[in-house]
Amino acid sequence: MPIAPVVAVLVIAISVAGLVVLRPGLTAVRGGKILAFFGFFILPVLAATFGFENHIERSKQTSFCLSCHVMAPYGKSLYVDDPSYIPAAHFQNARVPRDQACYTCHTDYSLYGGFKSKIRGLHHIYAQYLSTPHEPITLYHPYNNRECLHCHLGARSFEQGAVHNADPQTMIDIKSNKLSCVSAGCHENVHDIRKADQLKYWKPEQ
Amino acid sequence: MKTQNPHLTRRLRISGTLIIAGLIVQAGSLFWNRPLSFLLFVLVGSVVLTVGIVAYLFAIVTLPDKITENVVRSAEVP
Repeated sequence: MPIAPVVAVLVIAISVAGLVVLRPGLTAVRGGKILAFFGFFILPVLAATFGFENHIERSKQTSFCLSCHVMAPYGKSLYVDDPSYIPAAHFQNARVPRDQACYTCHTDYSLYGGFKSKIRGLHHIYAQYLSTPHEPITLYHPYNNRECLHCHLGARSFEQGAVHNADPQTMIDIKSNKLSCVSAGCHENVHDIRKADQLKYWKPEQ
Repeated sequence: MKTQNPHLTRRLRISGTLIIAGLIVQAGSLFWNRPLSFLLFVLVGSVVLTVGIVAYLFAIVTLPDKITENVVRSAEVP
């Protein structure tokens, strides 16, 4: 939901609640009671729900992830001028939405995962604002092929790829996550920030 | 003329102030796209808002509206 209607509901809620606070005598009559119920319950709940939904949507944005200092090199790696770098190739060729590049390939990260992931998300905020993140940061679990397959599964280039079908077991192992897409010798060039200074970078035209 | 019970009036003012404070915090957090703004929304805005709503519901449930009928006698007084 765009921010304008959310703010509109918030402003209306604040106005109605403010009216009742300033003139509580209004609630002596039936119409005033209904107004108070709207101002103190219906509208605030509605505004909070819309606001929460807006926050969740905005937290999928690339800029949200990159707002933490420790993520800056990973954001920079999206501009590596080398098509063998999988995140960069996907980002630069718009194979993933650029404004949701991180979330598209890391759908189970912090806020979007299970309970443990959410707790880790809180730890990330603690590390960002009150402590120092451990660098280099690493994934908590090996990268799950599901993140690739939610787009590539069924795609001709994937299903009929020569290497993927080199032997019948390979495709089965990829689809069952036994053989990682980012294994050495496969699509291993991801966010290799250790080589950040040695790489060339793409500069999109403004 | 109907007047409101003063206890209920006070409770309405307190709960309303909390609700408005929570909504203002939530509104402010929407203009800041960082992880901390989400925490601000949830841990400050939503908590204050919830306390206000609960206080309001508690007020109207436990303190029934004891409306007193005040007859405006001034018109009648010669």
